[in-house]
Amino acid sequence: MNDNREDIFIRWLNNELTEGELRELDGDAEFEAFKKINAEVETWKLPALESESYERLQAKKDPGHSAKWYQTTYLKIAASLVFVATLAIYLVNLRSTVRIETATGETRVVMLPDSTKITLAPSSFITYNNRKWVQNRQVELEGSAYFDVVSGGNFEVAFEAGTVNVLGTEFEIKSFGNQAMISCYDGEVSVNHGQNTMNLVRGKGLRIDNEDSFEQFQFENLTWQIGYSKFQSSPLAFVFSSIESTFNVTIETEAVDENRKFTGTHSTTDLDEALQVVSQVMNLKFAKDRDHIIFSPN
Amino acid sequence: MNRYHNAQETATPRESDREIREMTEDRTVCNEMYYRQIYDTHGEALRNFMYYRCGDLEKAEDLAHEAFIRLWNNCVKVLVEKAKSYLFTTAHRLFLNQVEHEKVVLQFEKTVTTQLNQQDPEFLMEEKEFKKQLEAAISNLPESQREVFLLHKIDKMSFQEIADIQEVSLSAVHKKMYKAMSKLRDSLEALRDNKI
Repeated sequence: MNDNREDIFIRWLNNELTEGELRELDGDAEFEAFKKINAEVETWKLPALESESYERLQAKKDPGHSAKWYQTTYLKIAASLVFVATLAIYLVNLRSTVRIETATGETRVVMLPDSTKITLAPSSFITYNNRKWVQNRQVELEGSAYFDVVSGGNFEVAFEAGTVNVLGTEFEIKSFGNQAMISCYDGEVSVNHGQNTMNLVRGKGLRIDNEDSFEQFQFENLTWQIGYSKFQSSPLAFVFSSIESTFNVTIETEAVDENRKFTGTHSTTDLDEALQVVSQVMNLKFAKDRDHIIFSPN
Repeated sequence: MNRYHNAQETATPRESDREIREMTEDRTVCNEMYYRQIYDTHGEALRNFMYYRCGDLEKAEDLAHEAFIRLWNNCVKVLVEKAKSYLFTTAHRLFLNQVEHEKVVLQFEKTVTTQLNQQDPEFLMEEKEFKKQLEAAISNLPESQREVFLLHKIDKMSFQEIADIQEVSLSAVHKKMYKAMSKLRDSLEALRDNKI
């Protein structure tokens, strides 16, 4: 009987009852209750899914399984390649830019790729591009260096106060900030300083004291010595700059005319010797307190 | 000559492999467009199904999403026609794995507003009260009976569809439906008797 009721009930829900069967159910207490429940529940619903629901699902989806996995993977690969290539170029450039430095009291002989020889005085540095050297013989210098240039093509040395173009061969540059001294020991060099260009031949030098002031000079001792710095009627101020830069010290003067000219050679490895040479030649005395030196009249 | 012959031998199976893969790929869920269509068609019913179990719409949506994510992760294995049953059985099993079964309190919205000529306050009160009582009675049904009842009445699923989801026979679903309806009637009657 229960089976029968259930069967009728299911067929009623499925709208499969005949009209006769339906009429029979009229007044049936159980079915009246069912009808009431049915009618009520038929009017019910749940809130529709929000339109953002799909986006929320997409956001939760494991990116590794995303439909665009191939795109993202390729993008990642491409990005990695770009990164690696950039890094490689950067490293190659970094590696090809060579910087050579000397410490206080250290002198170094540098052989460039074309056998050009640069003797770097203490407390100086040069940079040049190793890879592009053959096409572009260009050196940047701060401090002092003696150049023995192998002939062939342009050779340029840039320093703060100007540039030197080598026409052939041996010369020295002292460069301290906006001051510089170029001495040509053999052959010929061309110096650019601001708007001016000067050619220096063997035994000629050029001293740049600041942006507008420069002076040519002549010198006789044509042997350049490692470990010594030579000056030919150079203002004391310039000599002091050279010593300051070479030994990493500060020099002050008291009642000393820094325009007086100094001619001579001082050591670049022994500070006391250098100070003594300068003070003897110029008739000065000096007091030294660690890195600080004060010159005054004797 | 020999070289060409070999080349052809290796080329042919590769070509047909690709074709088979393309054919099956077309019919699996692994296509974003199909996947979206499946979500639009079955997403809400699946969410509802989960709601009948947990009584929390937000949680229900999360559970439905979980099933959809599994569908996507297994998309190569599921043809578009099988997606619906995959989703519901997955969701069904997802919930079986959850140990805690909290007591649910289900609430529904009304689709039809009461007709104007029936705006008698007493009638409205009665109707509201009846809805509340019925909601409570449904919430108290055993889980599987509640599901059969609501999937059929709210989501308009056929009994066969429900049987497929619950992985039981059609007659078992019929039985559950009848039991559900009888229990609802009993508890409503009990409430009324208590009041009187």
